[in-house]
Amino acid sequence: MAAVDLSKLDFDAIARREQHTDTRKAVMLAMAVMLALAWMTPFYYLVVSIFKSNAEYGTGHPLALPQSWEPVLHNIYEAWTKTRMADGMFNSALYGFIGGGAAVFIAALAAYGLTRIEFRGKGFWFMLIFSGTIFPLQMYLIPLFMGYTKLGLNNTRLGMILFYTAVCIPFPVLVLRNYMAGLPREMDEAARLDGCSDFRIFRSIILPNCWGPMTALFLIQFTWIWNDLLFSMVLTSREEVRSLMNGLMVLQGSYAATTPNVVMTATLMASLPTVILFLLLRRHFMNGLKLQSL
Amino acid sequence: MSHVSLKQLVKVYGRQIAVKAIDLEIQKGSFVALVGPSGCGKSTTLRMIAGLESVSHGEIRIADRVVNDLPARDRGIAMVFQSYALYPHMTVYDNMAFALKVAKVPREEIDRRVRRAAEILRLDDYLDRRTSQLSGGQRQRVAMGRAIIREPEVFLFDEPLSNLDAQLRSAMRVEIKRLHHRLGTTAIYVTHDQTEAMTMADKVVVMRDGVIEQAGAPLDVFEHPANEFVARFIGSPAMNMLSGEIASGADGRPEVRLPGEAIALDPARFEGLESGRPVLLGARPEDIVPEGHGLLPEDAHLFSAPVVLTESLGNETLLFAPFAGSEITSRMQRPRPVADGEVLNFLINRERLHLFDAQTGRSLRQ
Repeated sequence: MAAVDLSKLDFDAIARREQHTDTRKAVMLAMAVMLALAWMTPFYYLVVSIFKSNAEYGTGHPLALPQSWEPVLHNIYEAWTKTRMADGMFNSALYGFIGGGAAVFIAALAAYGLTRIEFRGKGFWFMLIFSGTIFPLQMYLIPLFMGYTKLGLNNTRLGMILFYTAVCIPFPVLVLRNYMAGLPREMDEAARLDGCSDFRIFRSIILPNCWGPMTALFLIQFTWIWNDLLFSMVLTSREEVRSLMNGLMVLQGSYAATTPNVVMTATLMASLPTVILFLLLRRHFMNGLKLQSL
Repeated sequence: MSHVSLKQLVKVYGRQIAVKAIDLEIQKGSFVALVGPSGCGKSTTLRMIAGLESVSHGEIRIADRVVNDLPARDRGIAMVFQSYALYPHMTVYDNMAFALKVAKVPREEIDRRVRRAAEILRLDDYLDRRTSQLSGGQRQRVAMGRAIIREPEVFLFDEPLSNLDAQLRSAMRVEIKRLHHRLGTTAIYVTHDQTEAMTMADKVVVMRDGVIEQAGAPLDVFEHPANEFVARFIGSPAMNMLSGEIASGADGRPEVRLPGEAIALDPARFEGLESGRPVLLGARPEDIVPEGHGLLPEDAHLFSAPVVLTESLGNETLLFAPFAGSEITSRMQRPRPVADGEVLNFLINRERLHLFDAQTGRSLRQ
């Protein structure tokens, strides 16, 4: 067999052969574009609507481009004042950060115990906590309301934080238990020989290796708490303690007298903080989702 | 450095007995290797000494202090793990400094000790790296650095080299040995690799099924295996074992009768040579030499056989040939190419034969 003369290779022909587009590819591309358009239309509707005044929204075509960007300022002002958004954001942030943070931390403690400490009835305790992810949360609504009324926790920030913390524990326990079980036991043993107590191993060795999944879990729980409407509506009615989503409810109903452009501005504003938080933590979030062991 | 002593040490898991009442004295400053196949109890024994497993019965003393119920951190020991068990979220420096930080050693003292350990282990250039950026050999050295920095009474090694490739393993063998010479700390080393045990230790402890089969200096264990198991386990390639029985030869001297062969025995070197006793005859591959290769034994048994397979190692070749009903391995020094099926004359060195009772496996050598 004759040797190939590498200096005379037709690189262009090889490249053409390897990336030629056929009709199948074109059809696929067209379908993808159509799907993308269908996907983006509601978003487009949202974006154009927040730039429209009440009158403009009422008279024009819903998908028409706005005439000027200025009405957005009025819409923001109206959304902000009508829903008392400052209070709502503060409360939701409070519940989200404290409830979500405490839940993930407590879940980490539980997962450490479940994976690292020998005690009787380990399987039972895990199943008990795990059952919290199986039953629908709505189930807790009535007993919780009754109990809170008895304890005077209705309409209090403490009551909300306690509830959100408790309800956000089971799922992180499940994830962190599996993650921690994947961390090598020899690492703990090395730390034990290095002089660590159980708690020191948790604090200095296990916790730093769980930041990824813990951040991801915190984000998931924070978003859930931020977006929760049901429990906030049932357990709070005072403006000072109600959450942001509950606050948005004033824009709904027969007497609300608000047009969709303001409602959409308000919902967009209400969802911005979670988007920002995600952008800030996305690196940890992505790493955490891999759930890789070391 | 400290003396370590195990007395009637037992470990049970449920109703399973993993370690069966072993006694072992480990001299101050010595290097002892626990060796045996997996499941023999060597790692369990080591982990009991470390304080990572509870002691079911018996006593462990380190420097004349009973440590059975002492937490691991107070035993004055350091351990190197098979998986290295480095802390992945810390730099090399922090990995080594961690134990001292936990012990609240002053910062300058920590720094001095970390840098000294890094210098000994040639890790100076890697102190700021994460452990995930290191090669296997470097990780191994960090694990050792983490152990030596604590200046322990006793070093424990749990198969530290089994995750390394062959070349690095032999380099690290030398390195660990050199480190032991330099620090003089008592070391207990667990391995399933008899080569590691033979090359590194002052004392080899061969274990099987939770029992110590034999303990002694490496050469002693090699030359005088107490039983068939040790004979087969120590030495590579493994000792040839041929089953036969004791009989009386034509001249009245005892011999071992194998299928189709009989080899005369020196009655002064063995005991219990009653006729009819079933035995195993052992001969190491280096004691069965093809004629013309290696030293010719003075007292030899000669046979010829066709070579069925060869394994060339460069400096020597292993020959496989049928003999007395089984296949034997022979070591050919100064090798020449041998064709499969070529008939060679082999000489078995009668002065270096081993004899084991076929039932108990006990050595019949005096």
